[in-house]
Amino acid sequence: MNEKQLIQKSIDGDSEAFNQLVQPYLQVSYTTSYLILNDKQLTEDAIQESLYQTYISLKRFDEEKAQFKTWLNRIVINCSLKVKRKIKIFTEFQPSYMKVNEKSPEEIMVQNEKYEGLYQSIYKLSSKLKVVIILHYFQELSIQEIALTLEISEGTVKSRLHKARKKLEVILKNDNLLGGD
Amino acid sequence: MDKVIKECLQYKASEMPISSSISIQNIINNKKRKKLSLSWVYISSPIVALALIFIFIFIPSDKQVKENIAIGETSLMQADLVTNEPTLRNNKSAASNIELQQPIGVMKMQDELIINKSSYILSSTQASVQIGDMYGKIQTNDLQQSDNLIYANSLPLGTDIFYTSDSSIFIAITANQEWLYYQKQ
Repeated sequence: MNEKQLIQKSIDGDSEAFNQLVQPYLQVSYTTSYLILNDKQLTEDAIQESLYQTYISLKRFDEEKAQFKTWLNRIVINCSLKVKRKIKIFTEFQPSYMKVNEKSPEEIMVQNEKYEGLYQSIYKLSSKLKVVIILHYFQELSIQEIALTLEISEGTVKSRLHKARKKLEVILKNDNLLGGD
Repeated sequence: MDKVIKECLQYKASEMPISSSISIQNIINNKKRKKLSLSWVYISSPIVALALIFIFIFIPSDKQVKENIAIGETSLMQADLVTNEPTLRNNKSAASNIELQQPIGVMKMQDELIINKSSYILSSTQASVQIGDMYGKIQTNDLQQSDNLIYANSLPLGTDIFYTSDSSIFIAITANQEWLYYQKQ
């Protein structure tokens, strides 16, 4: 069954078809939401809300305007930002050293601290800049795709990306996080 | 820098486990459950509020009336009408309730009544006393005053006196159905 058929079946109330429809995008939805929220429980809530919103507003989805993937991505981002606004939590940064890695524990620790520090800086960016950074660097979307997802102009995407990069560059240099790059 | 940001985000994203059991049916069911539990909160809130109002306002007041009835029927000496300042409001209603009880035994004052003078208006034979939110009048032929206190040595004929078991609080109902509140110093 192709995506179009799954969408139609979902509109008709087939929840199994909907599960199949969203399954390929779940992983990226989860991780994107997590990068925005930095909290696992909130991410679960945001994803559940996103899927619910997607399911109930599927009738309004217009495939001529955007792909389903882009539309779902937009809902996930909006729901995550909504959760963030609503909760206004101050998430404590909790470094995780539990990852499986071939490097020595000391190297892992140094690398993790470096990433955690950088993520902290990304997390502290404004929501607008942060989302653009996540879509560009994590989801590896093009400028055009980001513009479509966020429903903003390509020029705005470029400007936000530039601003975010400048801010991060300063932080990275100050904290010596750039290393050999 | 691009590489570092990319690696950083990938590293961070790997922390998030993906829920494998997620299904729209479960999500809808969760939503329904939440709505249901919330609706119970909405439904039960006014009921709980009304119950609390009933418990905190009506029941104590009713209890006080019953106590006062019992006092009238048995021994006025046992009445514990007021114990401290914060219960003055209840005491007021208690006094009003006493006013309705008939017949009320007439008792003689054994001791001189002394009332704090800080809030009263005194004429030759009448004192209006305000204590907290309670208001009363003393009509007597023999009012004496000192700097801070007023002494009522005798009270009008037919005045009914109620007092607490420790004799610290007095309530008098005159023949004209005016009630008086005295606190012995």
